[in-house]
Amino acid sequence: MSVAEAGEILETEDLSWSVGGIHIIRGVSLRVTQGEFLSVIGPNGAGKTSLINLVSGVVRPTAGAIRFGRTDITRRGPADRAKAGIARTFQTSSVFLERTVLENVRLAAQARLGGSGSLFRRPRRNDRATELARDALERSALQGVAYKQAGELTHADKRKLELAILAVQRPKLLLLDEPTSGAAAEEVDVLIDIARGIHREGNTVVMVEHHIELVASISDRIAVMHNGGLLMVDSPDVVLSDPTVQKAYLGEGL
Amino acid sequence: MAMNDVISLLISGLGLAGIYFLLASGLSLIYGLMRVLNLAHGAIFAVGGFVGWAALEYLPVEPDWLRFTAALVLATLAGAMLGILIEKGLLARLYGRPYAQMLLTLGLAFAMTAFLGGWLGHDPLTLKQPAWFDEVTVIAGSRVVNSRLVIVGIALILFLATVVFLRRSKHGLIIRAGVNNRSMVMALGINVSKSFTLLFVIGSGLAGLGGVLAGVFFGSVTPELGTQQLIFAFIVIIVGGLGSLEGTALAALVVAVLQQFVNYYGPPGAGDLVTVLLLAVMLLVRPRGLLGKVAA
Amino acid sequence: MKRTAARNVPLAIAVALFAAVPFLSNVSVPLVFDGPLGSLGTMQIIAVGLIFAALAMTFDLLFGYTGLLSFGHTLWFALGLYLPAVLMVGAGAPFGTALLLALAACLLLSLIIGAVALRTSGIAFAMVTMAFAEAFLIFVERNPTKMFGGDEGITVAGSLLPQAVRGVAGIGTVYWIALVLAVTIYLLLRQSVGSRAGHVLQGLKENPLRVELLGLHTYRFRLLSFVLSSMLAVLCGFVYLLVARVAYPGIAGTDFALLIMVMVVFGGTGRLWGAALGGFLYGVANIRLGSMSTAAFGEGLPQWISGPLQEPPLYIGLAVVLMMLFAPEGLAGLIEKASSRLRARLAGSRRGRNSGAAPSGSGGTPGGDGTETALAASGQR
Ligand SMILES: Nc1ncnc2c1ncn2[C@@H]1O[C@H](COP(=O)(O)OP(=O)(O)O)[C@@H](O)[C@H]1O
Ligand SMILES: [Mg+2]
Repeated sequence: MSVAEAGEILETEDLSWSVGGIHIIRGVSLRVTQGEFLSVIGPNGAGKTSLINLVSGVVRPTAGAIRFGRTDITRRGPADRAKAGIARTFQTSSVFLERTVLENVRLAAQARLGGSGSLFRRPRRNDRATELARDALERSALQGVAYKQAGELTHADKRKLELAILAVQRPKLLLLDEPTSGAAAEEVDVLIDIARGIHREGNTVVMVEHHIELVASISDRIAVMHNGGLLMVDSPDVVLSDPTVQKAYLGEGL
Repeated sequence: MAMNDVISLLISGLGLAGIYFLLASGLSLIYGLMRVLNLAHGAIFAVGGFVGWAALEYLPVEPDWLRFTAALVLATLAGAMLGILIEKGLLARLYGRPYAQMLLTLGLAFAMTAFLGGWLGHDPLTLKQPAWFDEVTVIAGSRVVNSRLVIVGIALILFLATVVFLRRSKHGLIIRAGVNNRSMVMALGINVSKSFTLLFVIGSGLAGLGGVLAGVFFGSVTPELGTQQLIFAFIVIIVGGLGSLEGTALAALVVAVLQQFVNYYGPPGAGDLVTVLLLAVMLLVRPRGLLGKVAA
Repeated sequence: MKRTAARNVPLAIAVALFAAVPFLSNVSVPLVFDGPLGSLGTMQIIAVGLIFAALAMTFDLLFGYTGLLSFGHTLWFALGLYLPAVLMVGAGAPFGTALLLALAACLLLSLIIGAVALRTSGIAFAMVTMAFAEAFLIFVERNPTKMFGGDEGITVAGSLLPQAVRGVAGIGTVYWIALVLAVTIYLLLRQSVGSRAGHVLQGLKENPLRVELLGLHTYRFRLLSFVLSSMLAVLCGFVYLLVARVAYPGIAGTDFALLIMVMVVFGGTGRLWGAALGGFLYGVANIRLGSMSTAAFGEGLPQWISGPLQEPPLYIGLAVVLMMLFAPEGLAGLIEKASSRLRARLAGSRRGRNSGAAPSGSGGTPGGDGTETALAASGQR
């Protein structure tokens, strides 16, 4: 079955990654359909973050292949993958802590619009990148802290900032690594709503998340990881009632 | 190219490799474990060389091999003491700020070198080596100066001792684990600060001792001895792979032997230049070094 | 626009001061300079200070703004002296041709060396750049081609230089060239740092992975920064050749490369004017300390004290140690802290007069863009 026919945006084939002889990801074959909201769950240390690292190009697989759309991107670096339309967030927010919130997003917008290599043109208050950045901040309810240093933000606001950066990148595929981690309970819904908003614009989302009720309510499918392997991928109902899934979690004492 | 030359060059190369190893190993492990680039390491090396010179010059100990042994011990102690002073007295205050730490050791390197130069002058001071060192031994038909054999022997013993320390002792295991996966060891709540001090002491001691051997190898010591050799130590570290003791030893061999041969058969300075070329090639082919653990 | 204008005030004052120096032949600064400010000897020393200020700023682009630690930056400065010298003295090229050829060669070389060295990062990059600089020093000192002057260096006879910079009278012209160099490099770098690419570089310094994930090839941006700072350092070398009239090994190799870093750190990294201040002070102090070192310093003390006291690097080294322990943000950090405190006090007393309220202890900088306070705060850790 060809990728194009199935409307698949991402396909990993027998993807494996080991460090120093330890197998962290073992032969993961996963297909993500265009426009789908796929959640990845699994106990701590299952390899969820590692999978995101592999797909975003932060680390290189030791075996297997990754296809994005029609193209094999296994050997591409993270910048090329980002340009192709893959964007990600980190389990622990990764932003420019010493720059302002606006500058964080503006830089992302500038990167997408092009002309980042120019030593002559300066960022302007009213150029397109800045406008895009302001829009994104507004949608993430961050306009009030636009001139604050990102390092001074609360955890939840840092998470929002990451999502705002993601939004201006206009990716085709979003990889969200526990977007609510570190945020207070009342902020979780806000963050998930932002993620959903981006999804509704026609994007594909792969999200690692611990809040299982949330995951069940918004995901089209759920992938379960355990010990570096893919246990199963199916609709929320099926996955949550599956005994092996329950065992995988209980086995880890969750 | 005569076989005699080859063997004596090879043994010279091994001696130089030993000196590079003694200087580079501490530097590499300290960086691997704590991300501190100790730029005063070369100055400690030079202090070791001067302590060795002074011991050989003034110590009223006979016979001369005993005096030489005393010189080695004193230089090692001097290096180790400087190491403790620097780590406990200064670097510990800047914990978690690697650039500030590195710059502080750079300031120390300037000050220590200036101190040696101002006190004892910048001209080379000749080491009074035991008489036997200058004699030659015939190995496989070629004449080898004994001092080279001594250097090779001492460096080999110290290499093996360091390997055993890292593999067998508790602190050694912590150091090795820390170099391989620093955040993990810290996350496990293992107190690395004691191991770090120990590593700093051992590394500095080895450098101090290496300074004496360098004095023997080159015949004399100068305040700039450390800075000059530090460059080759850096090349050795990168070629071998940051944080890998075995890699450092292997790279020291490759770099030193290559350098000796090309310096002998090529135009002046060619051997030194070739080591830089080797570094460039290494980076193109294998940026993490021969046996690198830490991604460079 | 108002802010840009305000930003240029200190620059204008500095330029005006330096431009006045040649005309101040009656003003002397005792202890610092032997002769009056307008004397040729003093102007020469200040010119060196200006060149080192420019050189320090080129290093700051790399280290302070891009986060690339090079232990071999002086390679480019040294090439800026050696290549024209060799081309003129050894190959008989005219002055202008020599400079152009040297520029072209350095551009090619910085692309190649940058491309290789940037395959590493962090400390490995420092070591690799150091190795390249040291290789050049070895090459120059051992002098296998017999063209690079060995330990003596290459002296450039006045007759090889343009009329205007020849001889004693030329020192005046060279002074102006040095001033133009420093100002031009400052403006160029300020523009670069504030440009779109400059913003990427500053992001790189803090979080390279994030930059890469925005779809920007960090390697290319690092190379851009490397080549730019290298080429500007070559220009500094050109002007220094006019002052020194000799290309000598002392400015090549690791020792001087590390000194450049010391200048920048001492002045304050990540602020061009801080780096410039550090470079200027070093340039002037080095010449002055050098000429004082024979003076009877520490007389009557035992040799192991009095000897070292005559070594300028001792003072530089100790100053760096103290700076790292007590003021890691450098002189610029100290100055910024002092000025923000002063402004806070002024604002406080004004507020106090106007409203009768007690001055608040918040110490914020009204009207500042925030970076200043953040930097000052980070210096207090
Ligand atoms: N760079 C690395 N080096 C060594 N081990 C790693 C590395 N990254 C992750 N691991 C290990 O791989 C396993 C999976 O980690 P991770 O992908 O972060 O799991 P999850 O996100 O599901 O909690 C863990 O045991 C972790 O310790
Ligand atoms: Mg995770």
